[in-house]
Amino acid sequence: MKFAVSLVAESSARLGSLTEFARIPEAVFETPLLLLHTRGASVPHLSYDLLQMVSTGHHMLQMPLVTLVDHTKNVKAFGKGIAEFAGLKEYLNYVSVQDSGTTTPEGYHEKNSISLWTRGGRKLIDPQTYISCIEALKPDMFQAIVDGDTTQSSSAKRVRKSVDVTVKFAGICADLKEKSDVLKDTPMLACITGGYNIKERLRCINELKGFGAAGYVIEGFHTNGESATNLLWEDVEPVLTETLGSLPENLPRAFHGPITPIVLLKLVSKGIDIFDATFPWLVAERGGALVFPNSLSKENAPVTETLPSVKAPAVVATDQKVAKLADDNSNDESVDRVYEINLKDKIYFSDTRPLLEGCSCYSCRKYSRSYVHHLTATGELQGPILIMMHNLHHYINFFKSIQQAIKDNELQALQSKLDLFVSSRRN
Amino acid sequence: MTRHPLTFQVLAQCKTTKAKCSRMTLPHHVVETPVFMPVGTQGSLKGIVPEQLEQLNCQIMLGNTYHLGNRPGPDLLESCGGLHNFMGWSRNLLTDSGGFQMVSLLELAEITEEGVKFKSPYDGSECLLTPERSIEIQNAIGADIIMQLDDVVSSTVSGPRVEEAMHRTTRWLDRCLKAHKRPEAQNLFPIVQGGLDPKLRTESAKQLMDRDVAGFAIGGLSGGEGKDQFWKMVHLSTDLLPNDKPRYLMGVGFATDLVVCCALGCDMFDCVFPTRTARFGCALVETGQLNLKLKSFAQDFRPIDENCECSTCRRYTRAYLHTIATVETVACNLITVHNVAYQLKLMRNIRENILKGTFVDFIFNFMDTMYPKKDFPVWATDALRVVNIDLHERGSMHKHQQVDC
Repeated sequence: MKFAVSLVAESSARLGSLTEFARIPEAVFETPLLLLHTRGASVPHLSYDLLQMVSTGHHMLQMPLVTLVDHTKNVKAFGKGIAEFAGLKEYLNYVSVQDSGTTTPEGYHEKNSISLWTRGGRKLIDPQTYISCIEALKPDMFQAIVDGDTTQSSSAKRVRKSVDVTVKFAGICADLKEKSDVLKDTPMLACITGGYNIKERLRCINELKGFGAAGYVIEGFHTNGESATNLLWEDVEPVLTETLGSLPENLPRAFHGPITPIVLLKLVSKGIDIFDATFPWLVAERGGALVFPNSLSKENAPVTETLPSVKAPAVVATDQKVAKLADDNSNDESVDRVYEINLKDKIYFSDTRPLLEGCSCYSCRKYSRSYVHHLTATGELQGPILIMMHNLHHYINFFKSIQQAIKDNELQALQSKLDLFVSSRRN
Repeated sequence: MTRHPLTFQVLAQCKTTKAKCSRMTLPHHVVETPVFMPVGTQGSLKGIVPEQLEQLNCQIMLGNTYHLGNRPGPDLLESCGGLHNFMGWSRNLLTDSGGFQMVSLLELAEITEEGVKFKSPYDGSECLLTPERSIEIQNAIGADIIMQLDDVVSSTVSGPRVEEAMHRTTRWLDRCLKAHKRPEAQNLFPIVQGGLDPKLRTESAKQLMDRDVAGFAIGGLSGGEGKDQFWKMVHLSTDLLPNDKPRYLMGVGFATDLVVCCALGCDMFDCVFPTRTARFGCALVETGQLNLKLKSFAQDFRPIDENCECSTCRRYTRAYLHTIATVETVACNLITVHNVAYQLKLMRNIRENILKGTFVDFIFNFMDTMYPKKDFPVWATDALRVVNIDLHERGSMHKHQQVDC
């Protein structure tokens, strides 16, 4: 794999490309890149045929090991890797440790392993087991095993331990990878942990030197799932700025999790290169269709309708929030629906407009809000399919706009457009 | 006689059995019969999009009036220009009357001459589904074929109630025909009732045949009666109903049942089984079905069916489906596509063999594959015998046929 930065904007936003993957050499991925999030090696709700109806281009899939670990034995017996096993060999794939779309339970630390919460319960994985799973999956890129279990409220000791463990594990992974015939040439991304502590972040970067990482994943700002949608930028920014400033410029940097579009643009402007599509999925799961402006283009019909106003989410202390999320998933006030319309809402019962006017996706070309509302009200499986197709289409185009905006030095304008949209819905 | 928006052209008649292959032209699309119609209860075939059904060459699907009448309701459907527009399906639709759901789903349904009285499961209020109301809703939905409201009695009930229901079904047919507002665009089918009583069924068929309709349904079966009684009632009904109009056997969809009932002269079938079983991780194959949840498929790297042309079989293995069946909704999409493909392929094979004059051979091969130990169900053996096929005398049958040619 080759990464090249072609442009660095004043803001530090970068334009680049990932190329020369061994399995599909002709694939070119421009960064900032959107990884398509999967569960059980399929994009949620979308078979290959449905995914093709969203986009026929090259994409890289994010495959969380936590959703695959129960089946690695069978993938190993298959022998040709997860892409072909899952019927998606036309797509490149990147195996991550946790599912960034689903909240990872905090705690449960062991000295020599991490916890993966699978359908069968908690599974302890040490770096040796982890690498043998990766060997079975034969991904095109993978993440080193990591302890990223830190938030703003983590103790200094917890933060220190997460760095210790992450560095130790990265060393073992790098070592095993070097000795593995299967993985020798597979790019591995090392993980930067250290929570909201600049010193620990810098220590992590320092101690990871020499492990031959192909890039970095910035972990430890949230514990995945909903927790990532409520990041407080004021707290993230100083730590992230220092962290990125200390990383080599010629390697890609990934940031996982369903962060909101506004935070995403801020991360882009700081120099993050790789993201995942967990946000459009999370929104689809609660019956929401994305309607935020995803482009600067004037061809796109401006949103002329008055969208229902959306309150800012209540600020809840992190530990309370997690407890609350545990018992009910998305009806609480900390969920911010400002980027979406909620198709479960009765106001769409007879609304003949598409999910988003001017959108060219399959769902919007063909169906009314009224029909999608009917599907969500009756719990029909086609509901999440249509919403997911729209949300993914919307997000893929959002990334095209981001790349274009960096090229045209207009990232700030895109940010302002989004800010304006959000504030207009807050009244 | 009114000109119905349906033409039915018999293309070939099997020389041995009562099976025939026909072309039925409806307002939205042509239908080749015998046909299996997948069920999209609430205006969606669970887990797949209409384009996938079109790719499978599905020409007609079902919607349920009871469910659609509740949600989204006839007013909305009418304002959208009908269910075709609402759900983005440009081919044919058929709707049932809503009566069957009412009796089978609702404990408190009470049937009077007026209609079916029931408590709304949504707000507990008392509602009445009359023949007129059923047709009004079905007119709003706008399906190409609509069903009369019939007085459904469980096929395990006997006695005077069955006779009452049979006569009432005819009276309700007349009320339905009178209430039908769009006869130029929608075909209203009556439903033969009469339980398991040959006399009553004969009487029912005769009464309905006096009315001006484009096709007939055979109802009141597949409700828990013995298969030996079931096939006799089908056989009797198809003997009575005209051969130049489609005969729709309601609620039948197992592969063996389809093959036998085609031989008995039925043209149209529907059943939730293929799509429902898909959601539980079961895939249909020539030898029966595969429960993909079973551990034995964990390292089975073949497609569900090596001879199947569906998009699922061309790309996905049993081993992969095993990992996601009943866990990820994608599995529902993939197995549903295959199961619908299986049903439609079975019907295509039936039609092609009727056209080629090889339907009898087809039945032998089908039964041998489905029951490799030759443990054919007794009812199927008996039913096929009345249409001149003896499953246990394959050799002699062949000779007999050769003499015929």
